[in-house]
Amino acid sequence: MIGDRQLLAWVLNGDEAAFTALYRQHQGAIYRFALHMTGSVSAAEVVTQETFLALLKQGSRYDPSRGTLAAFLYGIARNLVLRRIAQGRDLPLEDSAGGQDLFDSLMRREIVDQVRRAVLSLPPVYREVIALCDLEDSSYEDASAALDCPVGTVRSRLNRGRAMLAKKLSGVKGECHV
Amino acid sequence: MSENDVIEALENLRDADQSREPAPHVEAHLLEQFRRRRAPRLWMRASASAAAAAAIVMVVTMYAHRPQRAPEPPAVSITPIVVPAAPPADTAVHPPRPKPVQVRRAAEVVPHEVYTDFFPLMDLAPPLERGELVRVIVPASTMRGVGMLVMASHLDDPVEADVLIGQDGLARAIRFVSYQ
Repeated sequence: MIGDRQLLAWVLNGDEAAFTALYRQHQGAIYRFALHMTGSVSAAEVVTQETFLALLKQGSRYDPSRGTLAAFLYGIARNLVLRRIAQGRDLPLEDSAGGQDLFDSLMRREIVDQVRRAVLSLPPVYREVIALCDLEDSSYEDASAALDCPVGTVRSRLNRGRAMLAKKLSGVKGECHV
Repeated sequence: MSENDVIEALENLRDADQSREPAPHVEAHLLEQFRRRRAPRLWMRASASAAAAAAIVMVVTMYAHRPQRAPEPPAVSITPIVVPAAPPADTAVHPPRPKPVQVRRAAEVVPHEVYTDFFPLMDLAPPLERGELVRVIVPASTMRGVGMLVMASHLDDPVEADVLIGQDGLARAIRFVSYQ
């Protein structure tokens, strides 16, 4: 199997097929991370696009000894997202994931939407660790590389973020079961 | 709400969003950008390849049409042989004089070659510290120049000779070679 490192080398050498493969391998995760951070489909698409454009321009700066390519991409996407947040450009959630799934129960959709809103209401430093570690299953090491902070900081922010979510979501579960 | 409940709620959100991906136009736009970025690089590569090919063609053409080397003149050296520093005993002392060819066997060289004595080419030669013998082909008239007898009908015949050249590049003496 061809690794990300080899694919990136081919991409930087002008191989379009390698670029397509690399994009399809990582686009979903980057898009969802941006979506959970911004709450906007259009913003998530712009961030995804700009992340891969940045990879084309700055791909030679990727250092495998500092983390996976996924972490490198998350790092780029995170910077783009934080810039948008700082500029006040992130938009409210436009739709919900389960909204188009006719087989999802109303109750489940309601819970999902409330959790999504709760995540979006977290400060960015907690939102990003929740988005990476809980919603994208990134390892602490990858999150550490992407967020450019120690693993211990990732763990503590994750605990703190979950605690804040618990507070925001208190009563949701009870309401849903009533 | 406990931490487990939060984790469960986040898992629900993760499952709900698991299949979400950017719209196809994002990939299309990126590929377009990729091709735009690649185009100048491809053009540069093509230019470099064309330049390299042109250089190779030029070298091959020059090689094929190079002027053919003329036949070697008779006096071009053939086989340099380093000799000991001792100069020939009588090279600078005795003027050239006609004398019969003294054929002797040079045991240290090729067995079938025989040599004359050395004939001096300089009257007042600087000290010889080291030198080398250069095998040349000269016309037989050269032998007459050092006083040897040569029939008139053979003056243009090629003759092998060893020229002793000193460390300063000056030719000190010459001897002629024949084969038994």
